[in-house]
Amino acid sequence: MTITTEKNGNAAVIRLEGWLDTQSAPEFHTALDALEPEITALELDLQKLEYISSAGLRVIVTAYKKMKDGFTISNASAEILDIFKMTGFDKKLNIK
Amino acid sequence: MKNHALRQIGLLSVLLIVLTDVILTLMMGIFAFRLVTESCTEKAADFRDALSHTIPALDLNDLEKDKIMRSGFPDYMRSLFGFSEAKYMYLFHASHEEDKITYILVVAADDEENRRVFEERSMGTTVDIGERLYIDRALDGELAGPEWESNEYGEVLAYYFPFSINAGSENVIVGIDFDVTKIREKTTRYVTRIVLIVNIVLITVLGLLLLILRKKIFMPIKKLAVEMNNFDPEQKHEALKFNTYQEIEEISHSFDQMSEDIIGYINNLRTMTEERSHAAAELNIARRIQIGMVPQRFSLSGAGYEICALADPAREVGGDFYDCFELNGKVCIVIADVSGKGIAAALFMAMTKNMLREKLRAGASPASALNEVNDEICCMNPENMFVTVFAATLNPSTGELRYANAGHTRPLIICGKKKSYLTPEPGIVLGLFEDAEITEECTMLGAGCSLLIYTDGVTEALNPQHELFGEQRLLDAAADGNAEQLAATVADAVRAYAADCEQSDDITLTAVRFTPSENYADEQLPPDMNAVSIMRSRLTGITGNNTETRSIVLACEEILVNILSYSGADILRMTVGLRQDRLTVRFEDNGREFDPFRTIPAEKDFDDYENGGLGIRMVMQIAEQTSFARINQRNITGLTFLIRQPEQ
Repeated sequence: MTITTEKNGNAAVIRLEGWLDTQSAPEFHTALDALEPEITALELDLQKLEYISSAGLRVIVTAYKKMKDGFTISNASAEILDIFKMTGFDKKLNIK
Repeated sequence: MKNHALRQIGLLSVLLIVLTDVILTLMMGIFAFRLVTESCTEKAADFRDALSHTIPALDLNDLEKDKIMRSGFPDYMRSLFGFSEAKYMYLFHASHEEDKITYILVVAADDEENRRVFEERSMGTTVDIGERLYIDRALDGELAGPEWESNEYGEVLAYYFPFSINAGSENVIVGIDFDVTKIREKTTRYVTRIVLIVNIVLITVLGLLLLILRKKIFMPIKKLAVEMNNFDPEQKHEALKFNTYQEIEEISHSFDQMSEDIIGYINNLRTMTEERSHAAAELNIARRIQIGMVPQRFSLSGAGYEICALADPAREVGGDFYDCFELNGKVCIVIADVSGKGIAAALFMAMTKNMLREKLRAGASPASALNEVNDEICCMNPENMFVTVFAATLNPSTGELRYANAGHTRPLIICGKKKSYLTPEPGIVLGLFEDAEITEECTMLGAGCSLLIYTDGVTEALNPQHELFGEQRLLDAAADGNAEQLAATVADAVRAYAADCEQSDDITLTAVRFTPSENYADEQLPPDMNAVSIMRSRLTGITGNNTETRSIVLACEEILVNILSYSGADILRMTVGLRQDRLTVRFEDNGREFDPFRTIPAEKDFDDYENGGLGIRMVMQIAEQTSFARINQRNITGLTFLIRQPEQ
């Protein structure tokens, strides 16, 4: 699991690469906690995310609650989108 | 040659006559001879009396030959002979002192002989005394005799008696010889006559007796024998009419009665034989039906398993059965032994077999199938028959064997060289007690391992020394191989052991072998989060790293995380098997009882997802089938996934 954070003023982009599972979810959580309080917009780039488990989904919920409307998900693969649909995430989250 | 009674009696009669003749002749001969001898003695006495008047008057001093001849005395003596057997009569001098006697006068009955002896033994002729006992006794005054003498004058009986003559101054002795030949002739005539009479009487009586025997006994018996020989139970027997004795009539009546009875028995027997052959035909049909239901050889195989079942009923119809079939990706195996034998056991067997199959087909687990069937049988078992059953389901993907035992023999597990008996709960036979409470148990068959289930006909097969085959011999006989080889090896060993002994019980056995594809993994996982990555690499190793696999991993991860987070398990085992288009994943852990699927969490508000409950819903969407069981203090969680894109 590779997590890269890119900051641009109030906005930040977190890129997730590989498998976001029970073992790697805490890393993602750490990366999320590491964001400065002034950042109000977070884009989650999932282009290279291969896999997401419910542990990962829970961290996404945490991010969503923190950023509210400033949270977007981008470049999710069809496979990941399927999981969002399965869990009803697609209705709540701003997915580009 | 056989003995014919009539001939025998005839022979005996002849023998009797001969014997009678011999004895009679002997006795009569002795008797008659004595009688004649006695009459001679009497005659001698008569002669003495007759002579006592004349002899003392004779003056023998100056007797001269011619004078005597002229005197007429010899003629007088000869006249005394009459018709007696006396041959000679003679007067002579004798004394105790001298060994000679001197003849005075000799006369003979026969004229010519008389002339001859008159010359040969003329007066004054002396001869030596031979035996002098009788002469001595005569000298003493007795009538002595008879003396048996045989000399030139023939065989004679001689008598002697004395007279005093010359006024008592001189003694002469008179001798009389009786002709023995004549005595014999007379005796013979006498005896012959009597024997002849006796013979005629005997022959007549015996002949009459034989005639009567023949007519009244032997002829009727012969007639009866012919009748008995010609006895034909198909024809009505006519009573015989005889002129005979009561005893023979009784035999005839008995025969009449007996032939009537025999005709009755034969008719009964015919009816019984017909009934029996009818029953035998029905039994034969029953046997064919039974073989239809429980074939003597049955093989079933599919991806991941092989089954071979053998059944060898002891008598026409028995109570053993087995049943093997695949249902919804599971293989059901049942083996059972109904108490007793014959039609009753076969009926009970058919009922139990169908009920069990019905329950298993409806999806019941082995234990619940047994419990339900038990409840149903208990309600309709007036004869208190019972059945021992071992029922199991094999998951041919993972090798998981769920089983339940109702009082049946314990099965054998063969894994290569390692052979051991499974130790199921003994359970209780079905059909007798309503609260059987048979429990479900579980074991994992390793790749290539086999389960051998059998009825007690195997372990209780007897050899000629009446020793049981037993579990140890079974353990030794079971050899690793495919299901068919395993079953055949064991059956051959039992047959060889029993040799020529009559098979006392049904011999039924079923070998089940787990033969997973190469897409199979079974391993212990560490009871921590490292288990997740091991699981992931196993699954991607089997189905590749693709969208489908990742969703499967997602579901499995949920289950694993649940187990690791909440159950407190320290033993964790995962078994994965790909079979056709289904991937089955099985987790077993020793943690607290926790059924993740028992309460499907209600759709939560999105905001609550953070706190969990999300995963199980996803699992249930991804997996085609989920299952949970708590067996033997273990949680067993099963997931089955449909693989749409098998790995290229």
